[in-house]
Amino acid sequence: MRRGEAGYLELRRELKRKMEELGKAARGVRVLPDPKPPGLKIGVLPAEAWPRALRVRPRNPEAWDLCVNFLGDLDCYHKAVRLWGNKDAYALVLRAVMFGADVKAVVDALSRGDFQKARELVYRGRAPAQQIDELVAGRR
Amino acid sequence: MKFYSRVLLYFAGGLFFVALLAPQWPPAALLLLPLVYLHGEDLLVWLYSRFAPIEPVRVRHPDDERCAYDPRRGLYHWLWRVEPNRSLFGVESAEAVHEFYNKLSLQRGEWLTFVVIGDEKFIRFTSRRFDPARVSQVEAVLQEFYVATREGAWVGWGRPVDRRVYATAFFWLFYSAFAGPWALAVVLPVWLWVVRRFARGYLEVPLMVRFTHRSVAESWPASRQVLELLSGPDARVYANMPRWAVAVADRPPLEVVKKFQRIYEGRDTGKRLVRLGELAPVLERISQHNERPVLLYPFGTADVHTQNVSHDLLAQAELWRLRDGVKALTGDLMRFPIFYGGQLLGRGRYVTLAYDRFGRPVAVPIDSLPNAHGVIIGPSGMGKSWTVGSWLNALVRSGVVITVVDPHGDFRRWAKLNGAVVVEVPRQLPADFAEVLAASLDFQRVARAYGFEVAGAESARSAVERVASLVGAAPQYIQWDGSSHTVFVLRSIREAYDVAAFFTAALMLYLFRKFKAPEEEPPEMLRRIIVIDEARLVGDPRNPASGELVRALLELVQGGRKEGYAAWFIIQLETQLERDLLRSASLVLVLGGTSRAIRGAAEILGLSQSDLAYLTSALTPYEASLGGRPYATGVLLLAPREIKYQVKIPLDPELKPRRK
Repeated sequence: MRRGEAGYLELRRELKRKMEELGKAARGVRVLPDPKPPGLKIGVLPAEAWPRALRVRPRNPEAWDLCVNFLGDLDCYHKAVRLWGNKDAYALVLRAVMFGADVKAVVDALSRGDFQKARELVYRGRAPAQQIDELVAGRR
Repeated sequence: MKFYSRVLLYFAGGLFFVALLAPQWPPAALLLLPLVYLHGEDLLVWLYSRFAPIEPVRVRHPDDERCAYDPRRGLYHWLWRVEPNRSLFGVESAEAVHEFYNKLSLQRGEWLTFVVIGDEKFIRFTSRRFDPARVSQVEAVLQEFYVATREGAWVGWGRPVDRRVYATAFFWLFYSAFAGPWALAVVLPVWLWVVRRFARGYLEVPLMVRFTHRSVAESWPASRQVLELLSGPDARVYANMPRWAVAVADRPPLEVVKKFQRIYEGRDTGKRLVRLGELAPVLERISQHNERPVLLYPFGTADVHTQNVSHDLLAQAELWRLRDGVKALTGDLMRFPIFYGGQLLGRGRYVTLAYDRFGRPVAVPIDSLPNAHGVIIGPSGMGKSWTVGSWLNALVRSGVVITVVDPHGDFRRWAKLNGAVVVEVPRQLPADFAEVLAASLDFQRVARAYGFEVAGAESARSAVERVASLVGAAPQYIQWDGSSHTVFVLRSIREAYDVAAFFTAALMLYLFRKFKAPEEEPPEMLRRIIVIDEARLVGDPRNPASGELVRALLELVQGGRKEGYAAWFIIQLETQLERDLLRSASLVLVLGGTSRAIRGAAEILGLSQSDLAYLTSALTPYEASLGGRPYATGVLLLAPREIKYQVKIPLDPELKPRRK
């Protein structure tokens, strides 16, 4: 039955009364919302899928590939793009990938500015002395 | 024939043969077993690489945390981060390449791979044997040519291969329609086992470490002339890639010898002569240039037409499998910039001073240069002061305090933009000018050369005032503590040569003395840069105090780093500055110009022919600005190693007034 057909309003009123009785609609609501058309579902695409759906390319394909395609974590991408311009941070992310470290944890640590933690994760607690020299002395 | 083509051919031939034979005689299906067992994995790697790049899984070696072991191929990999300690490019690197390769003396089952990812360079040594003694041997050779730091185990990271690879089993269903059900029964379990092994043993890798191009050539053209012609352009293509790698393995010369013998011992036919002609370039390079046959494995991210390097995702697997090399000779390593672009690995701040000819930033560790002084040489009109002004902008942003001695007033605009104090010498002088100078023995000697006896602050003051009075100026003393950027302008006295020379010398000695750090607190960081524009006034023989001054300067600049300051001298020709100062400078920039102007500097600094060609082809900053942004062209040399870059330096347009 469609809006405007004979008996439509009466039917909606009856429906509203029954639903109030069952506790499925709040009392005092003037009208019930229209039912959804059959076959149409409202859903939200995960943010990771937006670029493909919108047919745009990420500005930083390396970070996108690492964080979204491989880790499935858009938040990691947001952190990574900020790190990419920093030579030291990039060097540590690259080493995390090369040395099989926990890449997500390294990106997290770097985005917090915790270079020492990131180094420990990458080098399993034993960073070469030269690396420390390079990274510690205020090049950030 | 290339390895993977051979594998494909074996499979095609084997399947066809069995499909013909097995319907008549079912046991013939067993012939497929060795094929699948031996080359099934190779076929799967090839197939999968049509869609995505993969590499074999490695593990850390239990006895050596820094060694990656590839159980699939039985290979051990060690990794160093390297920076070349010389800067050679193209055919210039011939000697170094030859020496490097021969010193390495790679044995059978050993590979050396040069890998560049972004700014970082790595060398990977791969061996079939786990032999720490051999690794130290290789490391010793690397240390001669590179600044090498041992890195962790490159075990790789990625995601497992797609499980749809098991669907390849359906092929055998289809195949059994031709070869009979026996073939299916025999091959399918083995195939599933091979696929399982593959699925567990390989990873898809992220874009950061992905190589997408490799050479599909079997061998490269061998002529030495072609090699010398192509080594520069090829190296240039690689230097432009964000990621590239080249592996090298020794190839026994026996193969060449055998080939030669076979031809030589045959009957004297025309065909034999033709084949001898084909071999002639190889033999010439081996005999005359002492090259050795090698296998090269080039990988990259862009096409290199002269090397048949083209898009093939198999490159990623090949980087680790090393099965499919190109037959070449050692000289072919010149086609890769393996000795180009050494950076100084220092501690402290890095400042990007220029961009090399591939557009990569050249960052200099300003706190770690071995001594404090720099020299900028360039003919008039090539943008010396403009370049230094642009550099000073970057240094100001890094927190360095700038003091400029500027005889021409070129830095007034810079001072205005950076909020620097402008002191008009000799009308204005710092309040402690005479006191500081009086304490300097060097100034006493310099003053004596001008005919003044300086014994205390009063006599120093009267000497300074007397010289100033020669140009009708009476110094007015201002409070200046040196904590802000300052430009000392001597423009008003530039006509009076001797007065200008005196005040330039006095200012230098004053600044060096004033900024001497306290004994007990040697600074770790560069705090100040003193720029002496038109430093020719210092070393000019017409200057009566030039000998004293140069001696004092040599003393001062050698110890300058420990005092927390650096001195930069700007000159037009190499003859305008003491040769020792020029030779020992830790940062030298030679700007482009005519060959007659730069040849002398090139000789002292050891610039090559290609550097000279680059410098003589330089545009003036004005010409460069017609195409968009102005830039200066030059060659930048950094101590302590032979680090040399042909650079373009972006200039700040704000520093120049508009041309009408």
